[in-house]
Amino acid sequence: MSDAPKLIVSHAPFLHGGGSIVVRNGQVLLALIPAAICGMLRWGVPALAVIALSVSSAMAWELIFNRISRRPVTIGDGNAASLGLVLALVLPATVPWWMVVAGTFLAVVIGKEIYGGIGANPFNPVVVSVAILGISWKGYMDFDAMLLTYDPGFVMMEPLTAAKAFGTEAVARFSAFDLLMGRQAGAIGAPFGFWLIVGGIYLVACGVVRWEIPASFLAAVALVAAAFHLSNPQLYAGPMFHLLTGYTLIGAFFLAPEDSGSPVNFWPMLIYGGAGGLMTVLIRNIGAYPDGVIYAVLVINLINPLVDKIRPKALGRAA
Amino acid sequence: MFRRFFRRNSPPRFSYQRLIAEIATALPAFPGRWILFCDHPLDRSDRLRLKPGDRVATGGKLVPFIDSPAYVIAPATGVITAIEPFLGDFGRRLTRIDLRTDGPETIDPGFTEAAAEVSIETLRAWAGDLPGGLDPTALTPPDQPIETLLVSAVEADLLSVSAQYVLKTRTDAVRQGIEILRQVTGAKRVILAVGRESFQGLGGHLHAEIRAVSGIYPASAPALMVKELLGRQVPAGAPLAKLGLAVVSVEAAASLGRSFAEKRLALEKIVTVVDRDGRRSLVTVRVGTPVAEIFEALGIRLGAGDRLIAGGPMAGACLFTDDHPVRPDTHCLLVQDPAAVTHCSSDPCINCGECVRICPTHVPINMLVRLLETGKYDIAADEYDLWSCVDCGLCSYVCPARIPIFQYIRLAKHELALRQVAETENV
Ligand code: SF4
Ligand code: SF4
Repeated sequence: MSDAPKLIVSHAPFLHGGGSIVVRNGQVLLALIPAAICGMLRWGVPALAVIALSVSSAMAWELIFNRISRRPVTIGDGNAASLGLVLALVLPATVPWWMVVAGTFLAVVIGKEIYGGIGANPFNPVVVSVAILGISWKGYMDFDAMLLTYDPGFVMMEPLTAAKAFGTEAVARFSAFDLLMGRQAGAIGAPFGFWLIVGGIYLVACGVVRWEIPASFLAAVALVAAAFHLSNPQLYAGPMFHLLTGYTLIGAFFLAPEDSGSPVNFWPMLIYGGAGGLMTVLIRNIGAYPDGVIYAVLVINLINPLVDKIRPKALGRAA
Repeated sequence: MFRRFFRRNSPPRFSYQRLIAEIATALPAFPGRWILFCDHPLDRSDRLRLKPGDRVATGGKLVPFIDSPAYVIAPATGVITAIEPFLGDFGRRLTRIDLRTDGPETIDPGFTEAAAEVSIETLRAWAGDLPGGLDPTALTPPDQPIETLLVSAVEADLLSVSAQYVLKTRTDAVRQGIEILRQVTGAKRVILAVGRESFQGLGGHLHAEIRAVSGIYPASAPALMVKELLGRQVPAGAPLAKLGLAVVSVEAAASLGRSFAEKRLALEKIVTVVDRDGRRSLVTVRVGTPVAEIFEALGIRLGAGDRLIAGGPMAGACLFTDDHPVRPDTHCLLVQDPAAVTHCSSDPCINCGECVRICPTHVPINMLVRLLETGKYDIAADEYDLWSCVDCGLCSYVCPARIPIFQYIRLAKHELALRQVAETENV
């Protein structure tokens, strides 16, 4: 019948929940905006410059790599932008511009694209990038050295470094509330615990972050830190301190739960998050580095494929 | 646009549609033409027993091929106008027979004679095309008798209310059908599975255990129903008969009951029709009625870019034209506006795990999809539980990467089944 209207033919299901990668990345960006604004207010124009450069260069690298590898252009999915923003928030405000560009290159190209792009990277791209930056240009990632010029009216000593060097006495001056509100030396956005928690809860509520991962990560940090603290209160700071300093909160809500490198089943998520929290405090307290989040996330990304094998038996599967 | 940032991406909990008293019912005019599909390829026309111009009587059995017992039941009295090959889903080859109503209705005596004997042979010979979709071969598996028979009055898909309507309006026929099923299968136990919400008000005169199942999609999937009601797991990929079980739709039971009670094959089928604005009607039509005739009766006009779906929104199939019949298992017809169509994307899996958490059968879809995309069907089946899937489509619904996961799964199952056929034939 030639007068019949042309129908669309496609396959089931004919409904879709409406979720999309763009929306998810948009939600991540939105969740980070409060911390980013706090960072800009605290550290001023240099922070703004780092954030702007990081987001734009991350997108540029993705575009360049898309072109070189002759693959569809994917910057529209927002993933490069959100990687760039997360990266900016864990860098010091005074980091030189070329390091930001190198960092986004490491994150986007080395951390993600060479594996085949979004969803294929075994490690969190930002974590890969920060780990390499930290090894390559140690001095520029040292918050105390980088933030010398600032005098915001509170103790300008990176709390974790202080605790590592001088024991708990040195950090007794930090009140938990000050730490929560970001009155501490540190990266552009990572110190603003309160806003990171707000953003994290928003992401959990949207279903972008599975609650199991941040919850188990933070619980493990608290438990292990408490155990250390009880064993030697002079040497090891308490759980509150560990929860509110360094990359703990940004790690728990934004680094560890990154989709590609994290498990999707219930028990594996708890094991994964728990292992991350445990490693974090172990590295901080007995390892060589003041902060352990970055390496902890690398380690749990590594064990992810293994732990995610623990899954419920499918219906009708024999044994 | 902004609101999108504040809504939860998942997970949905779909309740089946409940039958409400106010639903519009319609009885379209008796059509002048009919379309039938015979499940046998038409590759050699010289093996045809029927030809255009042959006369058929209502309820008559048409066996189109000399060398195949495949048959269809004529829904009306008239003349065959065409016999053509037809390509169905996944390249399935069928034969399409067109009829034109002609002359006063005469009833074919074939079934009336056969109905004197209630036996599985009679069912095999006559009930393969019954409204509601009955597979007589599944009722008497060769190596094991059916112990427990499940009659499902749970809707097959979202939006449809056909099964509930059948149960409500044809209770007697359902009871008679259950008796016949009990008789031919020898099943000791017959369970009528009803959605929890419509459980109330069902009497004990149905001669079956009446059990409520969850009203949340996809509770009607046979393997899930068996698990919920009997606490048993059907081995992945195996037929229910392996456990001595069979599932029959409530409409098939009603058609069976009515056929034997009236000694005349039941031809009428209940179809839920949902228009693009969600307006729902129930129509009673004979199997073989062209969709176009139903739409005309209901005043539904298809426009360019619409989707026309036979079956429900989650697991149905698109039709490319309304010149297509209501088939024995067409419980629902759905028109979807172009604006409601969400397109698939070519994005890769981002490993978000939404699919894994929604899957009612715990299939590790995030892993499975990687294998299916690269055609590694054997590994998918052996290690990643492809055959545990009950074809509900929820994984595709939630996937933010909009991967057509469900279609990959169906394709994989289809390919594996073809391979199996090829292997058995080559032995
Ligand atoms: S794999 Fe998808 S279609 Fe199959 S049962 Fe799971 S959610 Fe449903
Ligand atoms: S297949 Fe889709 S829903 Fe499942 S993990 Fe991948 S992106 Fe998420």
